[in-house]
Amino acid sequence: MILSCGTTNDRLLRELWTLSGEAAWSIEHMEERELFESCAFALERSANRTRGFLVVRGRRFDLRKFEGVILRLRQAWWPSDEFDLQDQVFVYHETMASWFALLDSMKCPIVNRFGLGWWLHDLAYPLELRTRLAHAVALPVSPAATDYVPQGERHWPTARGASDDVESIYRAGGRLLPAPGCGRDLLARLSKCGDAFSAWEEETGIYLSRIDFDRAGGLCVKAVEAFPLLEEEPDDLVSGIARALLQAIRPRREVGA
Amino acid sequence: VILLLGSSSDHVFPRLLAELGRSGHSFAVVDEDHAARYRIDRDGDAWRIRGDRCDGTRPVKAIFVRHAVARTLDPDVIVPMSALQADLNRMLLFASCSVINRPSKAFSNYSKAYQLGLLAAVGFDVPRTLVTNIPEEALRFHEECEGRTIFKGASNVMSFAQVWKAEHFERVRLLPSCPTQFQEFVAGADYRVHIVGEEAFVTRLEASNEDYRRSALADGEQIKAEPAELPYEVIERCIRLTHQLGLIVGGIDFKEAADGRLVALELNPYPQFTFYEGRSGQRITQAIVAHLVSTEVARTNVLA
Repeated sequence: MILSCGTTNDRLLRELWTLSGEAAWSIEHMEERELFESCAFALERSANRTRGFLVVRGRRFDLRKFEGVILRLRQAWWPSDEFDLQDQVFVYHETMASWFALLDSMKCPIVNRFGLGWWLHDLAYPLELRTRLAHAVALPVSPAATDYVPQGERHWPTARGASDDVESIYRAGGRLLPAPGCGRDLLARLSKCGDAFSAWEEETGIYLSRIDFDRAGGLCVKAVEAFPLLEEEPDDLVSGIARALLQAIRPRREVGA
Repeated sequence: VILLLGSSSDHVFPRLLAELGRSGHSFAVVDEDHAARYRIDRDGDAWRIRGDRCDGTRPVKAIFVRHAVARTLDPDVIVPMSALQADLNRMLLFASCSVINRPSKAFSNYSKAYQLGLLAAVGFDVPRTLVTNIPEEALRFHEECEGRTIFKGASNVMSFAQVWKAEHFERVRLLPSCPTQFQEFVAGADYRVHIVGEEAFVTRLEASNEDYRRSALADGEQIKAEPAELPYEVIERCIRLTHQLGLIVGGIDFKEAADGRLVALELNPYPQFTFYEGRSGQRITQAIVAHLVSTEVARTNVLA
């Protein structure tokens, strides 16, 4: 069984549900609020054993039974204002810390297996992802982007921007999928970095990302978006990303073409 | 210079300043309690800290970080402090000098149950632990632990461990509102192991309460703290885990049962070591300052 978590208007999730339905795969979905407010769970750990379960739509699922988890959480959830503000803060952190531990304990593929920096809204988290990726694929970080900082108090998911100097590529389930405007030479250059991408994915847990490259003044990594919004992308690209992810989760099963 | 980032109202900050003063080494300070005084500027590859007594020109060879914790929900305090800390964290991500400890490496104790997995992975025994929001699961666990259970927060938000007593059965029904961490109660002495680079300081603590911090901080009781020893392999594991996490300094907590069983409870990446050395007489601050001062850096990109 695959678990998807996020919002029903997320285009990638809708595509995943369609493909899963066509392949007659079992997929359960939970909205973000449902996941954090009403999904019952238990995680038990000792020195040599970890086990647990989730209750989804009244059915109890052992954590080992999940084949994959797709996390598309916008992190918009906040505890009810029935709690006073101090308790809201406490409940929020207890909930996030618990879910992080529970997801970490699951051995199935999780897209994405975000680090604690993401869960904690650390503004340095996307910068760290970018620095590590640039190092892995032996490209510099864009000088124009060294001052790149997520705007506001936290980093919200972004869609691909429109700029003549920027080319973007998606990395999903171990495959490179060029966004419109991405040149063949960039794709060819990155296609030689398969092992480096895989090592970076293994290290960071980010199996779905959009990577923006700056062309002005030489090829550089401008940004890594670990929660790419796909609402404005062409149908075939979104479909390709969804297929690649499902193929990575269930490599021995065919995903309908 | 050595750069200190933190809060002047924290216990660690003045102790470090005093020790640095005694060392004769020059240092600079960013007091996050007065966040509006400071500015962090990019200048090519360099990061310049300006404000208060920082003029953005002195090369920084080592940095000690212990971010201020806002003890208020007042946005006038929180907003500028958070903005400064975000700027500092960005700088620390790229800082080429030594940093005790880089915030991006210090998240693991946000999730206690996750961190227990890390402790177990390096070979420590850990207490049997349950995180749940299901009342029946908590009751089952309590029964399986033969009624000897403690409960505490699952995150690093400050909370005290409490023994599950008769009056707590009623509160179990509140679990669906907030998950909680339950653990088998390991009665016995507490140990705190502070790692500073390759050095270890072991402190043994005894208190009337199951959480010695509660005895000292909330109940105002005296607790007994003294230098102690633990087996070599325990210390070696503590050092290995601290370094594996990318940390230079760490504080690891243990409980030792009467039968000699030693269980690891957690690793604190920003330990309040002054609490321990003030009671045990161990010179942890001195070791940290010695580590900062002895650091060699070929080229720093932080200027204060």
